[in-house]
Amino acid sequence: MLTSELIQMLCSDHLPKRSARIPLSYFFAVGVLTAISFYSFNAWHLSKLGDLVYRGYFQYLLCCQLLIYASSAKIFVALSRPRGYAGYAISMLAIGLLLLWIPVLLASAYQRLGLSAEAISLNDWLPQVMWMVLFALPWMVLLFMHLRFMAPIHLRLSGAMAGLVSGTLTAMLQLLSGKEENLSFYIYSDSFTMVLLILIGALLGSRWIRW
Amino acid sequence: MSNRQVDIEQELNSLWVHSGFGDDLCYLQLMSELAVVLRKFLEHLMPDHSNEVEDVLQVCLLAVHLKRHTYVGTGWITDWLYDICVFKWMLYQRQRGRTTKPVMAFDQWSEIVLNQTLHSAHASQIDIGKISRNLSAKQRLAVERAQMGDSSVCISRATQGRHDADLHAAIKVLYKHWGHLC
Repeated sequence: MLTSELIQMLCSDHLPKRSARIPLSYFFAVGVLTAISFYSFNAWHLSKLGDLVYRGYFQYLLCCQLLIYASSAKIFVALSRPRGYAGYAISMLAIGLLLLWIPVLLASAYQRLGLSAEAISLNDWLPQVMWMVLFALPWMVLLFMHLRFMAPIHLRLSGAMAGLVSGTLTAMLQLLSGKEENLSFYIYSDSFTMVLLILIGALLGSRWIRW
Repeated sequence: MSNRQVDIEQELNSLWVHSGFGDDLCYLQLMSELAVVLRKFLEHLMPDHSNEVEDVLQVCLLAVHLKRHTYVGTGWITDWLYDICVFKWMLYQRQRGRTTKPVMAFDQWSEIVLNQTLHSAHASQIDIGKISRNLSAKQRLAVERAQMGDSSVCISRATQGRHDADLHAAIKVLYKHWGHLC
């Protein structure tokens, strides 16, 4: 077929295309609704918790996860189209991850100094990770469908970011639904889940995303 | 960014905006001009496989058409095109087991000449076709044989008797469909 014939054919099909903002608005609506429900649930959940330090730590973790979710969602949206602009979201993501891990690093330093004897083992949080990955997979599939509708240039990176977004969302749900008293448990399990989902997303990204 | 690139960018952007409002002619012109720009890109990317440029170009044009909703209008349209083109080119090369080197910046904007006259002639054909699609075969023939004057229609004496009625019927149909533009 000649290029001019192809152009003719494409011009005859020049119908208004479904706007890209429709699936994006769904995506953000889910995020906003989840955040609102988290906060309302959080208020109810916190009323049951007696310790003021525990409450503060709980809020701190939730804020870190919301920061990671928002910045990774922004990067995901930027990666889903050619020349998408992520802006300061990359720095915000780095800050969010750092803030999430600062308490663990501090706790680890205290343990080394012998100030705290509380520690958690791998067997405590590893089964939880498997459940979280299973729970995050449907979210990731939805994000992959969105990527196929859009035009991502960096397939692996886009897939990895889809994994991070779905992983963070699951981690937030787990934080609010869990009854674990040791909050370091959540940091370990959440971080490991995120890393696992990032790897899965990157692996599937180069294979599944076709446009 | 060179002045030539800015000119091309402005022209493409203007066409993009107009075709976004459903102007078919602008979209046709846009796609034709994109083909010119992308062909030059691909000739730059594939100096050793110049016979395959048209194949990749068609893939790129199809991708631009299908993914036109991903251009949000905030950045340079040529950058957006450049990314799609490089992506499709890399995919094409990988499918054929060829290695791809990192793409350097494109600096041959001055060599790109958008062919306006060709497009306007082509656009006129499309326009006439669109106008006369409501006419019957006899009416279309009568219109084609008529000569448009300043504000009147002249028909040759030999064919006047036969085509007079058809021409008047055609004008009625045209006025019915396109009279609001007069």
